Amino acid sequence: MKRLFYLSVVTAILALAFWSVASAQDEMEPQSGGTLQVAFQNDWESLDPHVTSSYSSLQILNNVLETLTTFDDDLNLVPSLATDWSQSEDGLTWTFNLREGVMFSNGREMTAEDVVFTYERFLDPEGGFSGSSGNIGPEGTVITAVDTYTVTITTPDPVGVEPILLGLNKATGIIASESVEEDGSIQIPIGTGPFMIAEVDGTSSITLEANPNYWQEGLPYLDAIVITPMPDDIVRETALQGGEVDWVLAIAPQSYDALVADDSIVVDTAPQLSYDYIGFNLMREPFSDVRVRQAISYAIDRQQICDAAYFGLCDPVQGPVGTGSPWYFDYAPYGDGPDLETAQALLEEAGYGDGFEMEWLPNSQVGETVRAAEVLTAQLSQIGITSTINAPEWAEWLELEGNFMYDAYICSWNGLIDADQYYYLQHHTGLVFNFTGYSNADFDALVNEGRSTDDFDTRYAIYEQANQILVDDAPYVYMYNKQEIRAYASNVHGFVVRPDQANNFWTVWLSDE
Amino acid sequence: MNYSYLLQRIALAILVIWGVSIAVFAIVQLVPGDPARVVLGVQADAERVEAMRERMGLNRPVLEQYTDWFTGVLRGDFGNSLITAQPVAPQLWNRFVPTLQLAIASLIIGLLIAFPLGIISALYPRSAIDVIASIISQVGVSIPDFWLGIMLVILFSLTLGWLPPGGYTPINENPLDWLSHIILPALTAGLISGSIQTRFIRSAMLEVLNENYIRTAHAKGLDRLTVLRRHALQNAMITIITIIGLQMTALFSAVVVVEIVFAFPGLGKLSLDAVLDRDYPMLQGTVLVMATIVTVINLVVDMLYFFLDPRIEYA
Repeated sequence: MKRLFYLSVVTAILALAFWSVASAQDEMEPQSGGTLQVAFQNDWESLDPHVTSSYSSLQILNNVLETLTTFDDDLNLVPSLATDWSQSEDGLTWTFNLREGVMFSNGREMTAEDVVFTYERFLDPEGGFSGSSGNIGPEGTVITAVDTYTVTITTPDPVGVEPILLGLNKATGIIASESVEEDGSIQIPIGTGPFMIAEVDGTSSITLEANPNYWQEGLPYLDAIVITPMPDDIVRETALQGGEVDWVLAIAPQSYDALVADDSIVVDTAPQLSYDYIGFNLMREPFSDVRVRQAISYAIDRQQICDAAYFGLCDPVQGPVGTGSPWYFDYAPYGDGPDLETAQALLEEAGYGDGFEMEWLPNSQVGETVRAAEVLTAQLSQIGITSTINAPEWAEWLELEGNFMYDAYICSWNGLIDADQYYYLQHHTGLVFNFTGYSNADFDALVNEGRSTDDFDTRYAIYEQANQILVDDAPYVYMYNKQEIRAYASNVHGFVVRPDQANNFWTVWLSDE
Repeated sequence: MNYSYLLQRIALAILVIWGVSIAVFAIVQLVPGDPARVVLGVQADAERVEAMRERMGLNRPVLEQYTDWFTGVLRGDFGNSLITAQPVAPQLWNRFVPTLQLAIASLIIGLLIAFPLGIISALYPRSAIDVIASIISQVGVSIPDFWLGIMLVILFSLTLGWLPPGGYTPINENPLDWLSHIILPALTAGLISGSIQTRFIRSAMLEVLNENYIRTAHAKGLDRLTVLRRHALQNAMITIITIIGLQMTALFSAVVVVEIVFAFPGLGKLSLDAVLDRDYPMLQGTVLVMATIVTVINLVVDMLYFFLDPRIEYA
């Protein structure tokens, strides 16, 4: 009995000790200073926000540039460089009031002229810039500086979601015209963000330093961030465990368990607002036949693909939007598991009862797409489809995909926040990212309507219909929705894993172990 | 030495490097893939890609592109990267230094293994030590460098925690840090290179040891070490230097993989990225530097023959 008493006293003391330690951690005050050593998986490419499509580049720009609007960690639209905005009666013009006293990192004040400069450069059709310029507006969009702190954007047709589109990513971040070199290129963009690019050593390392003129009081906490690419998974993860780096972008899904078990490492996940999918070439037979595409959608085992391709750190999906998004639609017509009978029946109806031969086009530089192709080959052999895999590297892949030189490619769309991003540019007839050749007038009308208004409930009803048409027509067959995984040392605080895959470092701070 | 011969060799070397630059320029034009597409990614339709190609100057005639690039190089201007828009020349220099250090360190490690093992095996052919050395070198030749690199990382970084798994610190910043970062990559390339050299040194020595003059030296009553040093090794040196030269040039290509595994910022990683991104000016630059290195090494080896063997006369 006495022993039991001592035991409970000891337990109580221990519990108290743990509680006080835990609460002390919760109450830790952020402290300023220090350098965060960061390892990326891939090299960055261009740092010109209007050119680059590289995720690594955009994550650097994410901490250097700011947009008129932005999304907080819960993905609510919030003011950033603009304090408020309003739409004209006819719906064609948006007026943005800019925050006063915001300085570029070079000490000059940001005004409406800079917004006009940035957007006009991006919209220039001769510029050879990326398709993200569509987030500002279509061809014919006019940007005007009304006064020092007021900008208007006038589009040919009403765009209800303008404030959303402008804040989706830092491709539309405001840059100072001083960033542009003599030849018209941008090597180092100058922005208003919490950090500025202090040193670029080719693609070996980039140093970001705190912007001394940053408008948000007390931020950022860090003095500097040094980013280096470490392409090998084992090397990158070992560097984190050994303390060589404090924070890594992307860990291999197969290392997840080992890193979770390591007490000196924090592993954090969030469901991505992304999807991995098969894109069919609708210009080619037999994929031009909707029944063939549906047959494939019925025949595949999405859970098995997720397990093999991404080691189970994903959820099977039949539509583009994952359950973590407010735009999720509960529509899964292809059943719980593989339905080979329906698939076979559809193939017979389409005249391919004996199957056919096809080729998958994954990208050899993204392992999960190749693994998915291998599983798909095995799964579809059950309904008589004989497939081979052509896995070129990225540059060749883009060439083949961009010129309709494929049967079916495997890829993913990342960082999607608004419904418009899931449906408009990829599937509307003839638009920039429509690489399948899909065209459906009813669908086009719905997604046009969806982007003309900004009322959530109205839009939800519109996109619910669009989603049904798209999932039924199956130009894309959706496979799974990945988990976003980040790992960092336990003395790194204030980092939030975001479903839109943005990595924000301005609230990050380092404790002394 | 005949200096006009040397000048002739240098002129020939320049011609070779120039030829390589033309060949590479021609080949990259034939490879599918477009830097404009790489930089714009999936977010680009045909018109945007076309506008980007125009901006990159890729729509000009190939001959004009080459001439522009070549005259630029003669002025020391290697152009700008199509992918990062950064000038190529400073990156070539920044990456050349680490690669040179890595190649030399690997060569030293390789020689430290190959010389003792190769000579002892040759002195005692078919002995236990010869068999063991032969097995070790066979294994060394067979294992892929990326696998060996990862195994070394798992052993020395993950398990023992002695050395960093990757990265690089310049020697003038912190020599100790520099050393700790270069050991594992140098060991990876060096072990493999050493295995190959062991076999060559063994056979070169074996050949010489069977010569009559070695028997004569022994008969004169010279001690074993003197025979080995003065007569055997010196005569085997021509072959050995040839092999070292070849290994040195081979190391510059071997370190490509090693650099990628260890995130070592050298020329190898730079050139692979340039190939993958179809970054023509960067690729041209790296190939030019690599071709120069190989040509210079070959030239130096040829010159060394002259010093090692007074019978050799260049005319």
